[in-house]
Amino acid sequence: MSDDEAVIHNASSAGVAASHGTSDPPEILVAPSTARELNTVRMRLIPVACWRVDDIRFRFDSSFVLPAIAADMKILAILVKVHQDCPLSIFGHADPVGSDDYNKTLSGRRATAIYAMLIRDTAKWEKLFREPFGGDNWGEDSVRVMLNAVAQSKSPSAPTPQPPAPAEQFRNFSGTNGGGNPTPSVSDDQVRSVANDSGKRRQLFLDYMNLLCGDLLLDKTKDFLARGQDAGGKGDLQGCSEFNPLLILSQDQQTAFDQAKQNKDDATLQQRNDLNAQNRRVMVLIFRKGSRVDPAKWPCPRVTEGVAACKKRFFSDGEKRRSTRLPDSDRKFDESHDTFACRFYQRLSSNSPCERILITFSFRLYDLERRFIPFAPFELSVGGRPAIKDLADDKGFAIVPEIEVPNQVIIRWGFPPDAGQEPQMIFEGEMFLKPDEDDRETEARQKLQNLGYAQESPFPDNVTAFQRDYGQLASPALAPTGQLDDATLALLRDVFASAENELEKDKPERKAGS
Amino acid sequence: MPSYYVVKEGDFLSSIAKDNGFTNYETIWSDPNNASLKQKRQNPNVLFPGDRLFIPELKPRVESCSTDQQHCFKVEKPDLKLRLVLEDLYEKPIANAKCDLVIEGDTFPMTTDGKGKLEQAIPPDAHTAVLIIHDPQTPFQETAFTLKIGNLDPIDQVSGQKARLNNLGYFAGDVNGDEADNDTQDDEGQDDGEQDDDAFKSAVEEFQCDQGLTVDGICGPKTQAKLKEVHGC
Repeated sequence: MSDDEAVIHNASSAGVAASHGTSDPPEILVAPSTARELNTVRMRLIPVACWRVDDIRFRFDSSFVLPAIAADMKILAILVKVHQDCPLSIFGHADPVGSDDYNKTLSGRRATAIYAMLIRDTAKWEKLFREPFGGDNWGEDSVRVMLNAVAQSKSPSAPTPQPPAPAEQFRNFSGTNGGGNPTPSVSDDQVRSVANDSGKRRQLFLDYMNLLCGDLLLDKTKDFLARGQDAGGKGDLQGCSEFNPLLILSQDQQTAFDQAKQNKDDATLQQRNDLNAQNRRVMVLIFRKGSRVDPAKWPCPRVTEGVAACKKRFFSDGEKRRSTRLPDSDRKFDESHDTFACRFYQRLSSNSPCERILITFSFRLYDLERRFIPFAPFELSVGGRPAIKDLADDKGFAIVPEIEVPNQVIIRWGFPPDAGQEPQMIFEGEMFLKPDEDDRETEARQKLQNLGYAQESPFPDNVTAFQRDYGQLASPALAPTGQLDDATLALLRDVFASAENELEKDKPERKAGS
Repeated sequence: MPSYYVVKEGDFLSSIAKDNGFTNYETIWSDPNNASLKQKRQNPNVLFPGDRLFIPELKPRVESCSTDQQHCFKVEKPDLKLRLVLEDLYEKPIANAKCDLVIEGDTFPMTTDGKGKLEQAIPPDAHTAVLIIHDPQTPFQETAFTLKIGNLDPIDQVSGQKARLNNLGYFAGDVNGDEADNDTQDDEGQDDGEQDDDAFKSAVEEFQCDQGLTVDGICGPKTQAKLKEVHGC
């Protein structure tokens, strides 16, 4: 193998995308007939994958999407590619601060912003821009953010014309301070001239959408669950208000926040907003190929309609589910599965036979000199699945939706080819996702392999090599014994963790408030 | 010798009749000893494991016939069929769709009618079938569905309610995942039980909501009757 020295790291990123397991259809229990009896068999709506974009990708309390969403769109693009011809539907969610009606509209506006971007419908953005709602006022700030992002992507210093992943330069845009003003490359006059001219705005919206979505362009009459049959997007996108929280804060916490509100304690209120961030999200569910719904029969109301139709679909104890607070501990959907009020959404999103949540992984691809390779072409195969072929981003990160962990994958990569040439996959690595921490030797084997020690060498030889390479870091220094003793395993864990941390430092920001 | 037979999972009257040498299940079903079971179950093809069925004595029939003549004897055998109606999510039939029904190794190519109906005569010892729909109207094109014939429990049983809800597209959980499993005490088993209960209750609510019934998550007599009607048996 030519890549004995190549180092690959892996790390799990925020759980923003997942493929649901493809389960066999359930058995159908039927009765034979001797008279006129029938057995009716109805097809189910089954999601095969989901994608979540977090609150941090929107301006606070707004439907305006920030440049950093480009990374998430890239993941969605991969999911769409993997699940070819599978239609999708968008569900916006708000947090419990504010009224149901306000949140219904806001969550609908966020779903609309994502939908419009996917189909490049600038008129929908124009409507969001021209018709502010409560705190959701795009305004000149949004124009400045868009102009800056588009200008930076076109500047000659940009490495390639390919839409860059969310680089650090955009970080200051995110968070609660709205647009911010980190790189005043665009003058106030420019901003105003675009903000006040609908034609220029339309072009800017389109450029910005293209920048964020790259190749990901969907057709509203083919790629969505209701095929765009309803002008209001029924079945294709919906705002779920605050009805389906992932987290319900404890009564203690809530009391503290209520006091903070009275005392105008902004820092504590900010903390509440941060804690609630995970409730504010936009989910995309991708359904089995050929799935299609009739908008007239679809239970969810349009994004512009009120909450009445939503409440019809609540669990009989829906209000209790979404509002009960425990005295001193939080309630989490993850743990108890009982915080959603909307029965329809819960059954659709999780209570199906394919609810197993799987994880998206990112790998960083290096050359022999341990420099990462921007836009490295790569192929990845997991189990028996056909290989995923794609390019890493400008920082050498290959992002792939994973099917199941733990698992073993083979990744092959190379340098970006010259124009017209086929890429040569000159490096190859086999690795384990989610090393198993239960069994010392298995753990050590997998961590050694992920650190680049050849899999085919005998295990003691790899331990010896590791002890020789890194033994000086321990105190006392390790002797190259080939024995996996406690000190060696401890050092291996440290080295592995620091490799991961190093990776984290370079990674695009994913978490709110950090 | 007349005797009682205790119904097992997967039994239906025609299969029990055949096993006991009867060609017509009616002989058993209309025996006065089975009157109360007949009243209780109504449909001879939807029995419940544990039901006690009286098997009357198999009496050889005597016919006197003259010699030197050909005689034709006709055995009366009731039709036994498998009838399915295929619908999309919203009760719209999957009409004129090409399908294969594989019953005990024999493949029957067929096409649904305008109402999504499929009908196939089956032998009384058929217990499983596989349905493959070759039609792009459904997201389950070329998917093999396994049909378990005779495994549908009566509507007053939770297992029968779950099975019908599942067939109608409401994921109601594993048919056997109810009280019967409670003796497995490990944590995981209990969790599954809870989630299954939740799936069942919410499926009942969803069905009630779609049918305009009172939404309470309890599958009482009214909901049972509606469920039986919508499912078709």
